[in-house]
Amino acid sequence: MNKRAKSSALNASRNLENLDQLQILAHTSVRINQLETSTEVADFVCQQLKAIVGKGYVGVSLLDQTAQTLSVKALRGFEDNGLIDAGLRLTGTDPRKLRVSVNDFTPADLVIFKSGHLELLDGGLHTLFFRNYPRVVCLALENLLNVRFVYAMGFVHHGRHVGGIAILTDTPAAVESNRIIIESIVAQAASIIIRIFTEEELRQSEQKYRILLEESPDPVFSMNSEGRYTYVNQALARAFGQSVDNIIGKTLWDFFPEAEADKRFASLDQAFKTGQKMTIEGPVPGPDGTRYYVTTISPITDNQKKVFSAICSSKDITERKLAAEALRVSEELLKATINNAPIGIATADGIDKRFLTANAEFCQIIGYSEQELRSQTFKNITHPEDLSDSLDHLAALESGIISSFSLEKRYVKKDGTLIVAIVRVSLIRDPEGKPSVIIAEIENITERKRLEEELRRSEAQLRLILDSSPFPIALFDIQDNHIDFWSQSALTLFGHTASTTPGWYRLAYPDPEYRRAVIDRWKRYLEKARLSARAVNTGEYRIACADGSVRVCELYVSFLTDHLIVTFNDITERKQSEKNLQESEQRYRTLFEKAGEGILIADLETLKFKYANPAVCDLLGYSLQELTKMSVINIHPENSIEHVLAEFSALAQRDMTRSLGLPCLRKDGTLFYADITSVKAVIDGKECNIGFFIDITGRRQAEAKLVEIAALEQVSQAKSELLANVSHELRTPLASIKGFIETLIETDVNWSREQQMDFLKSANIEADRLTLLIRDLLDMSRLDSGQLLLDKHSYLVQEIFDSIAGILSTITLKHKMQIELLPDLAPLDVDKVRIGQVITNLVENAAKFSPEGGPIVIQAGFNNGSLLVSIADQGIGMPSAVLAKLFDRFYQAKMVVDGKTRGTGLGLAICKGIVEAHGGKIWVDSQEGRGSKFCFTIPVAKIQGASDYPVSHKNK
Amino acid sequence: MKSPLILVVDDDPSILKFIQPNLEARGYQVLTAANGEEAIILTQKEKPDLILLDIMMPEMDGFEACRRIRKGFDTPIIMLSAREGENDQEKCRVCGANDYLTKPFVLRELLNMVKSRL
Repeated sequence: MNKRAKSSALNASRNLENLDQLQILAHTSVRINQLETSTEVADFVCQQLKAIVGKGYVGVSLLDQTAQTLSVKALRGFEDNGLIDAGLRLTGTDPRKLRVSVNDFTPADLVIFKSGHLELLDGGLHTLFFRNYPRVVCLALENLLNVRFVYAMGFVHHGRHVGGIAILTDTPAAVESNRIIIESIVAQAASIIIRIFTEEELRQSEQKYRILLEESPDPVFSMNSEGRYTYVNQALARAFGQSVDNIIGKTLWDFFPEAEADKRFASLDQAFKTGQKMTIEGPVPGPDGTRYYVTTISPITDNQKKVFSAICSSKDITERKLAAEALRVSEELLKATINNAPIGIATADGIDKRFLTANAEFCQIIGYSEQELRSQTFKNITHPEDLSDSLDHLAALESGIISSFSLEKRYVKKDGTLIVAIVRVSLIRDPEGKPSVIIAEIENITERKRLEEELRRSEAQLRLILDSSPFPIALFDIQDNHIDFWSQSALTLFGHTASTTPGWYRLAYPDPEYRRAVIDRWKRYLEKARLSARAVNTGEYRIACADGSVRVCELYVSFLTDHLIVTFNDITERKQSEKNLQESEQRYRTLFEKAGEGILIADLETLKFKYANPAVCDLLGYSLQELTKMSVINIHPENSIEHVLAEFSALAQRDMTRSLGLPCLRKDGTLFYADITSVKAVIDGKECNIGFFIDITGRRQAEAKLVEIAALEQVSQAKSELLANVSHELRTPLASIKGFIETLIETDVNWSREQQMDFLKSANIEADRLTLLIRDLLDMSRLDSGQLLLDKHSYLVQEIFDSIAGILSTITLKHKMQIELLPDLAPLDVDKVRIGQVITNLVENAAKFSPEGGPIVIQAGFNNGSLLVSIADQGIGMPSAVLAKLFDRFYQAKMVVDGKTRGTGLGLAICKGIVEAHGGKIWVDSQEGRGSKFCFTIPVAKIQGASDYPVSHKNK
Repeated sequence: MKSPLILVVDDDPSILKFIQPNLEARGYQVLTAANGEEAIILTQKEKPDLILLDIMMPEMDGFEACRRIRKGFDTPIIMLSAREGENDQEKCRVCGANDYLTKPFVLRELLNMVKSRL
C-alpha cells in the first residue's frame, strides 16, 4: 500500500460514522490485497462501491499500457445497464479519438466519456474524486441513463493513466456521505491495480529482454560493484567455455589473469563511481585460445541515481584486430621497403601533380627534401627539353592509352646539376576511374650513362686503334669458336672475314688438303702460344682473298684469357720482292752484260772508271781492263772536257743529267756522238756516275733520212695535189669551149645568128683564159723548179713603171689611179718584165675588187735598203680567213665579180714567187669593206751590185 | 603540162652560159646557182625536178650540197666534175647523187641523161 492509500485509510478511520462502513472498509482492505489480477480488483471495487452507493452505476476501466495506446482493456461494472451497448453503438472509432472528442464534446462522442472517463483526469490527478463534471456531459448522461451526478476517479502510474472509476448516480447524498470510505476503497484499488499493472509490465518486459539477451550472439552480462557476475548470457558462457550457472556469482579474477582482471575492474569501478559508460578492450581467454573483445560497461542507476549494477556487452574483435595487425605489419613492411628502396619512389597527386610522398632515395637523387617536394610537381624538376616528352607520356597514361610508362629523361637537381634517370610512372585511379595518385620510380643512371659512354668511348678507341693498325687483327673466342672481332684492315686486305673459326678456315684455306695441314700446324702452335706469355709466330699461311688472290701472312698468336689474338702480318709483297730481287739481279746482270746501250760507271769524285759493259767497250774500242785504268777525260775530245766535268759536278747535286750529242773519242782516235744519260748511284759505298751511252751517229743519219723522206713525200703530195688542181683548172675552160662548140654542132635546135655569135665569143674568151692559164702554169712550174730565169738588169723604178704605164691605164680605166714615185730612187737589179707583171697583177686585182671610180694608189719608195711598192684600193677588202690563203695556188676568193675576167687562181702565187726570187717579200693589209693594200719589197743591189753592173743600158 | 624545172649549179659562169640555153631550147625551165648554199636554198624554195651539180666549188663543194639536199629531197641529181679522181664517182653515189659526168662532157650525153631522169 502506498503512502497516499495509508493516509486515506487514517482519514477514513477518523471520519467513520458507523461500524458498517468500517466493516466494509476493513473487509475491502483485507480482501483487495488478496486479489491477483486487475480485473478481479475492478470487479471487487465495483461490488463494494455499489453496496455503498446503493442506486446508480459504478464502473471501473482498465487501460492496456503495453500497447502504448489508450485502448480500453476492460470495463467492469457497466455491463448490465446498457451503457456499454449504447456506447458501442455510438463509437466504433479509433480509441485515440476519444480524448479529442471529449474535450470537444458531441453527442457522438458520448461513449468516450463512458469508456474514456480517464480523460477527465487531465491535469495529472492520481485519484481525484470530483463532481464538477462538465455540464454538457452530465446532461447527456442524464438523458441517456437518467442520472445527474458523476463522480470520477483516475489511476495514474508514472504519469500514465492506467485506469479509472466512475460513479454515476441520481442520488449524490449516498456518495457524499460515504465519500471517505469510497475514496479509501478507490485508493486501495488504485494502488493494487497499479502494482499489478507494474508487475505485469515488468514481467512482460523482462521476458522480452531476457530472450534478447539470451539469444544475443555477443556476450552480455551484468556485474555488481565488486566485479561479480550477476547475470550472464549464453554467448558469454560460450566465450568462457563455462556454463551460465558456473559463472554467475563468480568474479573477474576467476576468469582473467590478475593483471587483466585488475585492469577490467578499474574500468568497472570507474563506471560505478562516475555513472559514465566505459569501454575496455582486451584479450579474453577461452576454450579456443585467446580472443579479443571490446566491452562496453553501462552503469544502471536506481531512483536515487545511485549505480547499483552495470550491464556489460562485449564484441569479439579478434578478426578485426588480426586484420588490423596484419595490415599494420604489412603497411610497415611496405613503408620500410619503400623508404629503404634503392630506387627513388615518389607519389604525386593525380590531379594537380604535386608530390605527396618521396622516399629517401628519391630525395637524394633529386636533391630536394620531401617537404620541399610537396610544393612542387615533376615539371619543376624536369629538364626543360625533356618536359614535352614527359607531358606526352603522362597524357597517354591519364587517357588510359597506356597503363604505365618508362622514360629516360633528365632532371635538374636543386643545386642545378643535371642527372639522367629512368623513370617508371604508373597511375592509380579512384573507384570512379579518375586519376588519383601518380607513382613515379626513378633510377639515377647518370653515372651508368657516364660509365657506358666512357666504356663506349674506350671501346671505340680500342677499336679505332685496332682498326688503324696496318696489321689485320682478329679476336678468336676459344670457347665457342666464334671470332668476335676483325679489324678493318682485315676486310681491306682479305676482302672477307668470317664470324666463326670453321667459317674462316673454309674461306681462307679453300683447298681441303692445305686446310688440314694449316689446322694441324695451328694446333701445334696454339699449345706453344698458351705456354708463352708473348705473341708466338706460327709461321706463314697462304690466305685466299675474296678477289681470288692469295696473300702470304705470318700469323702471330697470343692468348688473352679465353680469347686468342691473331695478328696477320702480310708478307706477300716481301716474299714477292725477295723473289723479285733475285730475279731482278739476274735480269739486271743480263741487262748490264747484254745491253746494247753502253754502260760506263765512273767514280763521281775521282772520275775513274769502275765498270764498263761489253757494249761500251765495243763503242769505245777499249777492253774492260783498259777502261778501268782510265778516267772520264780520256774518252772525250779536249774541247768537250769542260762540258763533261760540268756535267759531273751537276750530277753531284742532282740524281740525273742528260747530255745529247756529246762527242766521244774512240781508242783509234775517231770521233762519234753519243747521248749520255748519267745517273747517280752509290756503288760499293761510293757515289758513282752511271753513264748510259747511246751512239747516235746512226740515229742521226736515220733522222736525216727520215726528214728527207718526209720532205719528198710532202713534195710528192703537193705535186699530185697540184696536178689535180691543174687538171680541174684546165678542164673547166675546156668544158666550156667544148660545150659552146657542141651547142652549135647539135642540130635539133636552131640558134639565132646572135646566139651563135655569143656562143662563139664565149668560147673564144674561154680559149684566151686557157692560154693565160697555161702561161701562168708554166711560170708557176718554173718558179717551183727554180727554173724561172730572171733577166736581171739595173733599172730605175721609173723605168719599170714606164714599161707598164699603158697596161695600167687600160686596167684602171674605170678607176682613179694615182702613182706616187719618190724621187731619187736608186737603180735596181731586177727583171723588169717580171716586176712589171707583179705590179700589173696587183693593180688588176685592185681594180677587180673595188667599185668603179674608186681610187687605186700606187706608191713606191725606199725603206731600209729595199724598194717598197704598195698598191692600195678602197674596195671590198678581205676577211682575215681569206688573207691566210691568199697567196696559195688556185685560191680564188669567192667574191669574184661576175662578168669580169676570171683569174687563174695563180696570179698572187706567181707574184709571190717572183718577188721572193728577187729576195723580197710580199704581203697584204686588208680590212673587209675598207679596202686592201698589197705591198712588196725588192732589196736594192747595193754598191756591190752597182759596181758590178753599171747603170742600165737604158736612159736614166 | 608544166615543163620540168632544172637547177644548174656551177661556180664557173661560162658553163652555165651554154648549159642554160641548151636546156631551155629543149623545153626545160632553168634556174642557176653559183655555189652549194645557193643551191640548197633554191631547192627548198623552188623544188626543182632535177639538179645538175658541180663538185668543185668554193666554200661548200658539190658533195656537201648533195648530202644536204638529200636530207629533205629525192630530186634526181647529176653531178658534174672537172676532176677525174678515181673515187669521185663512188663519193657521188655515197652522198646520194644519181649520175655523174666528167668535164668536159659531150652535150648530147648530158641532154640524154637529163631526159632519162625526168
